[in-house]
Amino acid sequence: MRRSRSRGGALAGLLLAGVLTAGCATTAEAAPGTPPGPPSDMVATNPAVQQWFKRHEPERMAVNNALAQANAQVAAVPGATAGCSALQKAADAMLAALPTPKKALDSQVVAGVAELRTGAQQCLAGDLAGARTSLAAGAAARAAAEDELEEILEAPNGSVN
Amino acid sequence: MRALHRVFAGAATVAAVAAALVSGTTEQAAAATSTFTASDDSYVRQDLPTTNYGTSTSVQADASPVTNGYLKFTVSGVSGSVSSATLRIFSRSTGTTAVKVSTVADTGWTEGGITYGNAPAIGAQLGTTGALTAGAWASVDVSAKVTGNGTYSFALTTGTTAARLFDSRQAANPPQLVVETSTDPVVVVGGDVACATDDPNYNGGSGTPGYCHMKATAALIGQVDPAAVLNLGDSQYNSGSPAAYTASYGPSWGQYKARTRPTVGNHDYGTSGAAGYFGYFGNLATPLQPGCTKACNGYYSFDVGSWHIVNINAECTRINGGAGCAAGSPQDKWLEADLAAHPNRCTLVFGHRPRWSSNSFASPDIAPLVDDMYAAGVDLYVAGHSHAYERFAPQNPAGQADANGIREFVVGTGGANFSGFGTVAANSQIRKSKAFGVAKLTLHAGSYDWSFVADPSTPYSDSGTGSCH
Repeated sequence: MRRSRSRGGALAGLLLAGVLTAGCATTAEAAPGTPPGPPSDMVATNPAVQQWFKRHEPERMAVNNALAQANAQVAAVPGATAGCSALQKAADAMLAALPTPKKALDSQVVAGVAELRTGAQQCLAGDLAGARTSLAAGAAARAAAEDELEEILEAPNGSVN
Repeated sequence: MRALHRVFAGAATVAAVAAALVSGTTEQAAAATSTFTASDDSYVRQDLPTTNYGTSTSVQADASPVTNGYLKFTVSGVSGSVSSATLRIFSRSTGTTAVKVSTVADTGWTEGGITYGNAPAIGAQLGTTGALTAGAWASVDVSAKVTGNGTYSFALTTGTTAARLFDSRQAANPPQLVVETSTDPVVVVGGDVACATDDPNYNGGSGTPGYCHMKATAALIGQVDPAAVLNLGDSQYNSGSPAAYTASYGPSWGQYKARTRPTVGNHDYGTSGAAGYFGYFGNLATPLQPGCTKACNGYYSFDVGSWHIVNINAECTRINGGAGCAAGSPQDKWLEADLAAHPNRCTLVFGHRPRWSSNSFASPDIAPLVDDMYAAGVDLYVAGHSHAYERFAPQNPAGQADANGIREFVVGTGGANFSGFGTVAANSQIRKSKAFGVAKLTLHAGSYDWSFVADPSTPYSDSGTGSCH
C-alpha cells in the first residue's frame, strides 16, 4: 500500500479545493508528533468503494486471464484467437463496470484496458505485430496506474471526488 | 500441538519431551517448562499515594480505595520459542470478582520504592483470573506479552469494590510465571516496514506516534529470535530505492537479513524493475534466478522444519506481460507444480497483497494462485499491504467458510503507518487498526500457533492455535 505522505502531484488535481486552499498536504496523516487521524476516513475504507471493487472482481480476473492467453497467442500461436476474443469481451465488461463511486478512481481502474481491447481487435484481424504493441502498452499502463490507484485509496475519503 | 507435561519447580527449568496425537498423526515436540518467581511485587493505594508496601506478604487489588498490585519477573535462560506463558497467583480471597492482569511497559520500578504516586502506567489488559478461591492458584495466560528472555511487569486491578489478596513473594506461595518453550521453529511475519530518511516522521529512525516504527518492530524480532523472518513486502518506503534500503531498512529489519525471506511489494516497483529490492536482498529474493537484480520473477519456495513455505509475487501486473498471476501464467504453473512436489502436511504461502481484506486492499489478481493453494491444501496465506492486522477463518477461494480452506493473516503492521477498515469481510475474525508489531508463528508438525507481538506503543494481543489439513 502506498503511504499517502509522499503522494505525487498527479493526485493533487483530484482533490477538493477546500483541502488544497487550507494549505495542508493532501494526506491522511497528521503532522509529525501528533496522533494519527482516524484511518477509517480513507477512500479504501469507504463501503461503497469497497463494494464496487468486490462486485467487479470477476471482470478484473477475466481481463487478467484473457490477457495471459492473448499474450501467449500473439507471441507464438498465429491463427489462434480464443484468447484475443476472450480479452475483447473481458475488456468490454471491465469498461462497462464504470463508474466507480469516486470519479477519481475511474481512470485508474480501467487504465490500459482500452489499449488491451485494441490489441485484442488487432489480434482478431490478424495484425499480430500491432497486437503485441497494443497489449504491451495496455499492460504497462495498467501497471503504472497501480501507484496512483493506491494513492487515491489511501487519501482521506472526503478529499476525493 | 505442544506437549504436554508441565513441571512447576521454583526457579528451575525442567525439560520434558512428549509425544502428542494430533488428528491421527504422531508428532514429537520437544518442550521445556521454566518457572520463575517474582523478583519484585507490591501494591499501591490511591488514598495513601506515598506509602510503599514492598515488604507486605500480600499483593492486593481493590476498586475502593483504588488499589493496584504490581508484579515483576526476570525471565532468563530459556531457549527455543515461547509457546505459552502463564501467570500464577495464589489467592487468599474467595468470590466471583475477578482480577484483571495487564501489561506494565515500564519495568524500572522496585518493590521497595513503588507507591501510588510513582507507579508506572498500566497498559493493555491480558486477561482475567475468573472467580477466585482462597488457598488456590489462579492462572492467566500472558503469552502475548512474554516472548523470550527479559524482564516483564504486570499489574493486578479490579473494577469492583471487593479487596482481592494474593500471596506476595514474601509469603509461602509467591507469584509465578510459568514459561513453556518449544523447539519447533518459529517464524516472524510482517510487512510495510521502513520509512525513508527524508520522511518527516523518520525522527532518526525512531519515528513519531503512528509513523515510522521500524526500529521498534525490529526490536520485537530480536526479542522473538525466530528461525526466519517472512517479510511481507513494502519493506522500504516510499519507492524502495537502493539508498533508502541501505539507510533505513538496513539498520532496522536489516539486522536479520540473513534469515529474512522477503516478498516484493508495490512500493518496490517505485524503483524500475524493483531494482532496489532485488539488489538489496540478492539471491534471498531470487533463489530461482541467481544473480538477478532487476525485473526478476520474485517467487520461490523453501522449507522450515516440517513446513513448506512459498513466496508468491503478488504484484501481478508487474510481471509476465501484466498478467503475472493469471490462470496459465508462468507463476501459476510454477506454484501448481511446486505445491504438487512438496506434499508436506503443513504449507504456508506469503505475498504482499491479501486476497481478503476488510477494506479495498483485497486483490482479485491473485485469485488463480489462491485456487492453486486451495487445491493443494495450503493451510495459511500471510500478506501485508493493508497497514493493519486482520485474521480470517479458513475459507475456500469463493470466500466461504471451509475447515479445509486457507486461513489468511494480514500483518501490514511492520512500522510504516496505519490504515483502517471498512465493511467487515466475510470470515474475518479479528481486526486491529492503529497497531504496530509482528506476528509470531510457531510451526509444529501438524499445527501452528500464532501470536501478535505488539510494539509497546500500540498494545494489542491476539493468539491461538490451528491444525493443518
